[in-house]
Formats: sequence, structure tokens, C-alpha cells
Amino acid sequence: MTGPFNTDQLDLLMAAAAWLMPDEGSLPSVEDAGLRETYIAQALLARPDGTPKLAEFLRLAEQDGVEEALEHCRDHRPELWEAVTTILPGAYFLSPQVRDALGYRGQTPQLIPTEGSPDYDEFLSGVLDRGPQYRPTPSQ
Amino acid sequence: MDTQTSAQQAAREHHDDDHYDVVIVGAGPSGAVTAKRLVEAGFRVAVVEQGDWPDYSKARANFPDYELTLDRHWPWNPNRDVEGHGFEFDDSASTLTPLMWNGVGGSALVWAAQWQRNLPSDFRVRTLDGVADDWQLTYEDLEPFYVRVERDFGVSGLAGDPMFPAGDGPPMPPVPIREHGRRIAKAHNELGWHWWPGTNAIASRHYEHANLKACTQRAACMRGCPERAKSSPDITHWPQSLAKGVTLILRAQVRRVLMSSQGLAEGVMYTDEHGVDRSVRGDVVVLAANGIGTPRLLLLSADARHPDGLANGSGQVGRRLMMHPLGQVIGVWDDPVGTTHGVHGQQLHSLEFYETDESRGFVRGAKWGLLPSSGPLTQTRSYPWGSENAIWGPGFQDALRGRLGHSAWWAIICEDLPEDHNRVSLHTEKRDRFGDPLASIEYKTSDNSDRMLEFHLDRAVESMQAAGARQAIRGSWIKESAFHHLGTAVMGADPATSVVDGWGRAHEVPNLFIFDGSVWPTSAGMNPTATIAALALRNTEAMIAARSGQVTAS
Ligand SMILES: Cc1cc2nc3c(=O)[nH]c(=O)nc-3n(C[C@H](O)[C@H](O)[C@H](O)COP(=O)(O)OP(=O)(O)OC[C@H]3O[C@@H](n4cnc5c(N)ncnc54)[C@H](O)[C@@H]3O)c2cc1C
Repeated sequence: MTGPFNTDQLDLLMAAAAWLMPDEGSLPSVEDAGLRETYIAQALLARPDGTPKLAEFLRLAEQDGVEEALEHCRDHRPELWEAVTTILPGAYFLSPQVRDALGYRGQTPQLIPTEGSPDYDEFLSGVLDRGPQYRPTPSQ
Repeated sequence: MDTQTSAQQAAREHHDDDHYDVVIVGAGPSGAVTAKRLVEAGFRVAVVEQGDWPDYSKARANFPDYELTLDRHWPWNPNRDVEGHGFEFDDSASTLTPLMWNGVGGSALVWAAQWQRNLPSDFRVRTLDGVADDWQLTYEDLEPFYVRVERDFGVSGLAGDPMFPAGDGPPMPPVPIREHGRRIAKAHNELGWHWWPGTNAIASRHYEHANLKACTQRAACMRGCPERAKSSPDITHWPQSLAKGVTLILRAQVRRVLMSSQGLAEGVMYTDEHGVDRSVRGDVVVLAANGIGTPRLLLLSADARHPDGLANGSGQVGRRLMMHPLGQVIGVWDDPVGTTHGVHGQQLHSLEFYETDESRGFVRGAKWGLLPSSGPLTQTRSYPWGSENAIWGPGFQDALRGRLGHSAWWAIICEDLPEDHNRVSLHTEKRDRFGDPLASIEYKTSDNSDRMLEFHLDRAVESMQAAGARQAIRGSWIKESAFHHLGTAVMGADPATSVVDGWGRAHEVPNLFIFDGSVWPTSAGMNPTATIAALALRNTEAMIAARSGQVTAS
């Protein structure tokens, strides 16, 4: 999938992603997760408003280097920091490899049982034994 | 055909020469309760709303990009609304940003649906604690209306909480308590602290009366519920009201209340989606535009007779803004505690430190609601982890694994007391697209609130520790966290110090009513919508009962 950014720009975004989410061995690296080929582009399809902000971040990164640009955004450009720290991790969590490694199945439904005894019963007596605790309306 | 589509088809068109018994501004919970009751009583009702119907095709809680698209499709800060849903305000002079949704259903489209009645003491703050003001009514006055709105909104929960007077509870049983809730419940029992199964405007069953389906506990889905299990008036109220004949005028920004030469309200002037100025006329006008929109409209409606704004002889319009400073304490457990699923909503609440105890160094208190920390992207957000959420860089992977499915948080709603300098006014320079001044928000917390917040954060850390959390994190201040806006058109007996009477009627304009949270004399430490809705119902019924004596411009 091709997104709005060229290879050089993707290099910078991948470096930013790796700075935010370094490869520490317990989850896929940003490269292995497929951010470059697929998920940055997919994240930007979901959040097209992120594209101009990432483009602005890239201008800073081209000028000053990725790390400096990130630190600058964090300290002085909250709207760019917000975009970078939404789109790049957002892309990372779209990756099935990452979701599998996390054991996260997504927002799957879990139906509420309509039968059986309520799960709070065993605890409730602890509260009820204390009796009323509120301050009643004072009489006039 | 779903209920929204058929409601849209049933919608009546408005013509400028139509005349209504009541014109309501705002289609959120307060406007919805009011319109529903009035149309049931046979009134001709028009509702003017600046936003539109929500688009549930964008409710993506069942898709992988859900968390990523939340702020695009269901934004709660109108100033950062990338799809342009609503009105802006200037919050540069405020430590909190008011959050809201502008459209059919109002801010309930993005709410957490935690449903809390106020306590009896909330209505008697002056008498009991010697600060601020008493309300013009008591808990007992409102109790029957709480019961009725709980049926209409489709609330789930359990009657019998010893922190409240006995009485009828919600129509559905509470949502299941998951492992994190059980641990907290057990810990609070050991500490001797209060807790109770959460009350939520979230259906735990299929609930025909309010068009709600049963929640499927996707957890991250506070905004944009694909099942239609989270209650909001676009589902629970408007379809029925439109079918009964209410006229709903959408994409229509009200800019002035129209006044007769005798000083009575005649209707409202609005600008429609094509930029055309139009009007809607009626015998009575009800403002239900929330604690920011209502004072702004009153101030915008200044005229020769009311140079400081409509109904503002007391100078109180816009003042006493209360927005509930939010505290967050997040517990992180070593083992999974079931927080990628469940309602988002509250599992439990605790009112252990709600009532005043002056030995703590402050008056009044706060309610705690327990929430799951949801999906992976949420683990990296400032909400709820605080604006200094330090997850990036070395340690990211472990921190993420440590949080996801292993963390839950106490949302602490602190009561802030009314202060004149916390206010909504008209901006002196910034204008909206029609050239009207933006609402300008000035707000800072008082010493009392700061001490309250500190105390509650410390206790909530103890709660998490007692429940076996490996880490209990005090989330830092989040500016974007003012979910509730109260007090900016205060009710009272004295026209010199208040805007409306105890029934929401403006002292200076006897056919102008305010039925949203603006009228609250004090803010309580509870999520406010239960009380906003119950009060709107009570005051609507009083208006209906007083119909024959109602003065009107016509
Ligand atoms: C993120 C979030 C979470 C929340 N969570 C909870 C919770 O868990 N529990 C709880 O009790 N409460 C919660 N709330 C608060 C709750 O949403 C409000 O209390 C409730 O919606 C207030 O109802 P209302 O009708 O008075 O105002 P609103 O719902 O704000 O509706 C006002 C309506 O008026 C319209 N309007 C305003 N000005 C104009 C104008 N000039 N012309 C035309 N239309 C206008 C607006 O567009 C809007 O639709 C939350 C709010 C937010 C934002």
C-alpha cells in the first residue's frame, strides 16, 4: 500500500516510530510489524487529518534530525506531537503481528449473561452491614 | 429501518410563519426530556439544534481502527473537531477545556454514561456546610423524577446503595463486575470503605422502552457505540418525540432570543446551514444549550432594555462556572484483571469520601467511578494516564504489556464551589463564522478544590494498593477534561442575586426558561446528567401545570 509519503520520508517516520517504540524484543519491531509497507498508510487513511501534520513534522526532521524534531514537538508543538504519537502507534496497533504478540483480540463482543446469580452478591454484605451513610435533608 | 432513519423521515419541516407553544434551544438530554414531556401533554414544540444527527456508520468499536478514529468521528473538544461538528470557544484563560458534542443527543453522544443521582446534602450545602447556597428544592422533591428519567434513559444499576435514601432503583440490573472491580470491592470491604455496583445509562439487557440493545462490553467504546446500548437521546428520546409531532430544526445556530416590546420572549433567531437568517416563534422559550451555550446566548441577546444581556439584571449570567476538576488514579496489576473488556461506563462507584469532613482541610467531596483502561492505543494517551504520560522510548514494550488488560482507573469528580471569577463571557475580539463573539472561558480551581483533589488522589492510591495493584499512578492534570459545565445561570429566590427561580423561569422574562445545568447553585461531586434530566422533567411538568396562567408575547 502506498501512502502520501516517499521513501526518504518513510525512513524518517520509521526512525521516529522506533524512537517512540524501540525494539526491545518482547513485541515486534516497527519494521517487522509492517509499518513501512502497510500500516502508516492505513493509519493515515483512517486519520487523513494526520497527513499535513506529519508532513510538517517531516520538515522539522529533515532540517534538525528525527530525535531533535521529536523533542521539539513534545516541548513546543503539542498539535504535532499529538499527531505523531497518535498516527505512529495507531499504525503499530493495526498490525496483526503486534495484536497477536499482545494477545489482544480487539474490541470483540462479550455478551452479558442474563441468567445466573449476580456476581456482586458475595461482596455486597460488607457494604450493607455499615448501614445508611448519607447526611439526610435537614428539617427546616 | 432503524429508529434513527424512521425518526428522520417522521421529522416535520419548519416554516418561519409557524407558531409553537414552546421553542427549545438544544437537543441534548435536557432539551430531549423537555420536548418529550411537552409533546406528550399535547404542546406544539419546536427544537432548534446547531448540530446534526450522529452518523453511526462511523461507530467503529468493532473495527481495528476504532481507537485511532475516535477523535476524528466522535471528537469531544469542538475546538479540535477535524470534521467541523460544532461551535468553538476560547479557553486560553482556563485551566480546563469544556468538552461537549453538538448535535441530536447533545454531549451524551460522547459521554461515559455514568449515571449518578445527587445526594440529599448536595441540595443543602449552605445549611449543612456553611458555604455557597442551598438549592430551591430537596432530594425528596426530585426523587420521583429520578425514577422516571431512569426508565426513559434505560439505566442499569442496583437499588439499595446505603449512601442514598431508600427507594426505587433503575429498571435494569447492573453490568457484570469484572476482575478489577471484584478486587476493588474486596479491598474496600477490608478497608471498611464504601463501594457499590456501578449505575450506568448503558443497557445490560435489550430494553425496548428506550430503543436500547444489550451492551456487548467492548470496553473501549465510550464514544460511538455500534450496538446502540449506550443511552443517548438520539436513540432514547427523539424518535418517539418526532413521531408524536415535535419539529426538530437542525444545523441551525441560534444567535438571539427574540424579544417583544413588552420585554417578553417571542422566539429565537437562527442562521441555517445555508447562511440564511430565520426565526422560530413561540409562546415560551426554553434554553437547553448547556452551561456554556446558554449564558453565551443570553449575553448575545443583549438589547436596549437588557444592555448587559438577557435576564442578567443580577449580573450572574455566565458567572459561577463549575467544571468538576478531574483526578485519575490508575492501578496496574501483575496479572490480568479484565480491562480490555467491560463497560466504559463505571464498574463500581465509591462515595466513601463524598460527605464533608472538615478535619480533612476542605469542605464537600468527590465521587469515584472505576473504569477499565481499554485498548492498546488508550494506554499511550493522556486520558487517563495524565498529560505527562511517560510511555515513549526505552521501556515502551514492557510498559505497554504491563498496562494492557492489567490496569483500571478511578475517575474522581471533585465538587468545585461557585466563584464569580470563574465565568463564561463574550470574547472581545474572536468571532464565530457568523460574526458573533465566541464564548470566552475563564476558570481556575480554588484552594478548596486543590486540597480536595490532593486528598482524594492519596486515598485512591491507597484503594489501588489495598486491591493489590503493583503500581498506583496519580495521573497528572489533563486540561481537556471538563465534561460538566454548571452554574452559569444560577437559580435562586432573589432576582438581585440569581437568574432563574426554582422552576427554571427567568426572573426578568417570565416566558423564558432555562432547563440545563446552568441553573445549578452548587455542582455536587457527581456526574450531573441524572440530575439535569430529572430537574428538566420536574420543571417541565410545573410549566405544563401553570399553562393557563403563563404570560406570553402573543
Ligand atoms: C466526554 C464527556 C463525558 C461525559 N460523561 C458523563 C457521564 O459519564 N455521566 C454524566 O452524567 N454526564 C457526563 N457528561 C456530561 C453530559 O454529557 C451532560 O451533562 C449532558 O449532555 C448535558 O445535557 P444538556 O442537554 O444540558 O447539554 P448538552 O448535552 O451539551 O446539549 C446541548 C445542545 O445544545 C446545542 N446548542 C448549544 N448552543 C446552541 C445554539 N446557540 N443554537 C443551537 N443549538 C445550540 C448543542 O449543539 C448541544 O447539542 C459527559 C460529557 C462529556 C463531554
